[in-house]
Amino acid sequence: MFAFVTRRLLVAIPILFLASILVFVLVANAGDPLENLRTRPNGQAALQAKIKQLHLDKSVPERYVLWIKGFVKGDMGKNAQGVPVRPNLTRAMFTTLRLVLAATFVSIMLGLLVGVISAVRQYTAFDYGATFFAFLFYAMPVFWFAVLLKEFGAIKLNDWLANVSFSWIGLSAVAFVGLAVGLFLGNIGERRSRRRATLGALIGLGAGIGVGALLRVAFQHHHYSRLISTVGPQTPGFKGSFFARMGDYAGHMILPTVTLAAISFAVYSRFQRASMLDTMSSDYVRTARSKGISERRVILRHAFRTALIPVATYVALDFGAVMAGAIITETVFAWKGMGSLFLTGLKDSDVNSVLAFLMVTATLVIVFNILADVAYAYLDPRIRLD
Amino acid sequence: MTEITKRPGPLETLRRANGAADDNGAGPLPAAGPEREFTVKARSQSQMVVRRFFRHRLAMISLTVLVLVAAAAFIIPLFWKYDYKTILPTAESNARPSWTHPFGTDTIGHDMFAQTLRGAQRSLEIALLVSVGATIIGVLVGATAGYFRGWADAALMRFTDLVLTIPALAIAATLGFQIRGSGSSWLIAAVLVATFWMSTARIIRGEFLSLREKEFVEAARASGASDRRIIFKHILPNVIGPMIVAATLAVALAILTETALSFVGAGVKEPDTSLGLLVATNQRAFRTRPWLFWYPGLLIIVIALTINFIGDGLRDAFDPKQTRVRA
Amino acid sequence: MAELLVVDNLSVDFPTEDGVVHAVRGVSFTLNEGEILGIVGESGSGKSVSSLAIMGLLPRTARITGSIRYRGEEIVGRRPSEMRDIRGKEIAMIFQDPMTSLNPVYTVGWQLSEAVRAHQQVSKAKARERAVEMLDLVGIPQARQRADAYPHEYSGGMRQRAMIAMAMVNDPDVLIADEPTTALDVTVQAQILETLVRIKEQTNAAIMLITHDLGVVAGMVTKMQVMYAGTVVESGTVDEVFYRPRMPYTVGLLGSIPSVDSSGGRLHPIKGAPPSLINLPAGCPFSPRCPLVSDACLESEPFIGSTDTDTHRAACFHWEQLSTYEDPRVLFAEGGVTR
Repeated sequence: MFAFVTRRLLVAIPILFLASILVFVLVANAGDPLENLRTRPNGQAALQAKIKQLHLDKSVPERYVLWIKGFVKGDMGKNAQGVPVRPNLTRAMFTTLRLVLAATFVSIMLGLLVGVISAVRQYTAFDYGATFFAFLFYAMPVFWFAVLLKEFGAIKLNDWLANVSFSWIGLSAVAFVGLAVGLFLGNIGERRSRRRATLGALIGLGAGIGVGALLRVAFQHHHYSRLISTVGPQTPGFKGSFFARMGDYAGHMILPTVTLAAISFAVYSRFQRASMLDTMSSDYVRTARSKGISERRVILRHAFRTALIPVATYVALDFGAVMAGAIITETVFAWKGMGSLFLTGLKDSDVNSVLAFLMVTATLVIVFNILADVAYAYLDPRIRLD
Repeated sequence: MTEITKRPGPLETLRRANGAADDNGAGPLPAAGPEREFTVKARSQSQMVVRRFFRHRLAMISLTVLVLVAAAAFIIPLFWKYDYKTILPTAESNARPSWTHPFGTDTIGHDMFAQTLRGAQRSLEIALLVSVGATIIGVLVGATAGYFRGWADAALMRFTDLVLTIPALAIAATLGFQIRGSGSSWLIAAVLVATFWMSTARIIRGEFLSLREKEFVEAARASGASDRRIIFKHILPNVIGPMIVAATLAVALAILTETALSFVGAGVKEPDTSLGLLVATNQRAFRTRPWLFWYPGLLIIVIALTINFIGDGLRDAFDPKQTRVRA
Repeated sequence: MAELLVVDNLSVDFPTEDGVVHAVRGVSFTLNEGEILGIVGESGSGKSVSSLAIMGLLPRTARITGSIRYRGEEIVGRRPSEMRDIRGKEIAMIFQDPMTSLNPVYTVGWQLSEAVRAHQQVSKAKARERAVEMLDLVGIPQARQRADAYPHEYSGGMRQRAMIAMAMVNDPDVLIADEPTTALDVTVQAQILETLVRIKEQTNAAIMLITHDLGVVAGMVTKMQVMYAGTVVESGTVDEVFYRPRMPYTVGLLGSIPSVDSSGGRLHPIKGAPPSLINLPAGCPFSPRCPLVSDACLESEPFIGSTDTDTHRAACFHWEQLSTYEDPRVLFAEGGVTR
């Protein structure tokens, strides 16, 4: 395994170099960094300074060498305003990574769960519902969804929360939801056993009443407005206890994460479903059943475990799309992450920022691919003899 | 396509096993009831595919809806009172939807109905172009890599992998940001083609890799067929299925990517319009004039959804066994 | 000898889009302790479905009627949790293709241990010991190390042996072997069969050997039955069925095998194809292809009944006519057929 990882890492380095060439050629041909300055009335001096700074008087290969020599040493140059790129980029990178990792985590967990249940309970209402939502999310533009969430998930929700008081109606509503969830979960076992269903319903009802009572108490004494925020990763200048700050982070993060995770979730759940259906009808699952082990073990240890293999390869491929989605999500929710760095860079014709963004993204994609490769080798012993 | 030996579908095989005409010369089978009177009609493969597709209800409904939307987008503007470029007097701006302006008007004074239709036109045109272009290039690259293998395959695939390390949207945005002016939409389409051909190439390459090991290719080679003949007459017809499915789904993906691109300002630009641009310009209006936001967005969803269903139906029609792990 | 498995008038139906498939129609047989029962038939004859019904491994859509009794207790209609107690512990099964029948992501030892711990409350270490012991018993060299290997690191024959080991790990009384040698090379086939015999002698398990290969049956089994179109058409001892076939289908099967002894003669394959199990015509299902067919055959399907002896049974109205032929295989020769 160690040799496997090392080999992958070593191969990654030349790939990164080639990627840097590709990226540079792309950016060098993509636009005119002097555009803004050309049209300014007395921009001649600034124009000349810019040409000097970006070495635009030299040929593309020469410029590339100059840039890459600095880049590998950590010098990412200055942006259009003359501010060094690197500190901004570092900050932006952590912001974006937070979002991307959270979204990936959520989408994988939920996607796998829904996929498995859909497959095991094929053709039930759950399956059809999940299929419907998957198709919907496939067709949904990220930015449109984000704006919708912003409106209904946050602004309207916050307005409602600010004015709400939890009456008995509210309590019964929550209790009812608890009942429904409990009933649903009780039905998930391998056979529809009435006993388990009623047990689930009762527990759900009890939990619902408990949560409802808690909420009622909570809302009697406080007024929560702006529970879910839509601008930026955190409230600027927020000072409070650790938990309060965590809550603040969470409140700011929940909507962008949901947005970014939604489409990946749809894809993973469909893939997992198809993969599960495949493995559940395989010969080794039949053998497992013939050994007399419990159905739950057959599904989890045999069908599910092998169904993960093709899905793992897809998760790796999807990371690039997640990064792209992050660009859009950050725009809508005004996060100052890498996406906004990139777009601002494009707008300002800021070569260095754009280059830095592309290189860092490429690096992250390659790293993620290696991780996925490792996971894949772990899941499938047949390919370890690589 | 009809040159391939006629492969019977599943029902056909069942019918044949049921006691179709015994061809060993042992004479007609004793009729023991109406069940034995099956007539086996040999159908060509393309006919079976078409039949299966038309039986897919969801795909048929989606096809109808899509055709209606496309027809509306291209035909209605010819008759509509307002042009998408026309700027109406201030009094008529920010109007709510009404009979004169079914989708209302925006701040500047455009008739939103005309704008939305125009946006739909643009988005559809670009998406179609992108899909066709990407498929052609993807097939060329994928076929070469998958059939000839060796260093051509290695080089092409390394290059594809390399380009894939950078998110498609990022590449497209970098290139597309500066593109303005008339004819810009076609350039945007070209940019998108440059980012889309990779996945098609991958798929086609995979198909070629597996098909080329099949026995009928060996047989063709043994009987002296040239490479070109094998590719065009033997392998390619079998690849048409996955190719069409991939191309169809690519149209949906292209629309979503183009609208995203236009949203961030790197796609279609003013004075032209696309559905994505419309959503972008009107996102802040959501609280006061939600109709400006809803209609373009819903249209994108309808188009992408119908295309996805059609693609699904096509996939079922070409490969009812669904042996591949696909969504 | 105790009666282990008594199958009485078992029928299995599958509802499908094109109609109901009558996969098994009124099959009855008995398996006693220490016996090897051979079940022979083409694909679609219902032999595999019968065994899956015994194991309770049929899909939920299957409709099972009739009776299957294991040690006197009725199995049909049992709750899945009860079936699980029997499966792998009292009755075990091995399947046709060992490559796809073993889970590729777990080691062989792990999979055997899992079988042990499904029915015995032992520690992981003890289960592994048992696993190694069984692998050794079936002839896997260096069993202790091999237990930590994955199925793809085994050869075809070794995999099938591992399957046998896995099936026998809880000392079942009945082993159902569904075409265990079909996916293997001929030389390996002999080894596997030999392993099966050895296991049986060591554990005194009864074996139900299902195959389409008459050669496999000839060398191993004590009694056999021939299945066609979902039902048993002939049953008896190996000698009886091979040397004194009383059902034309059996004759046709025997005549389809190239034999090392009879050189120079022509093979006489049976013309036509097996019938569809959805729309079975009235009468004997073999009638379209039978050289001895008469009107009676077309009207009603013969029940299986005794022929020369009580144990030798055949489902044919004309079994006596068949017994008059010296070499009944000529009935299938070209031109030798009169309708």
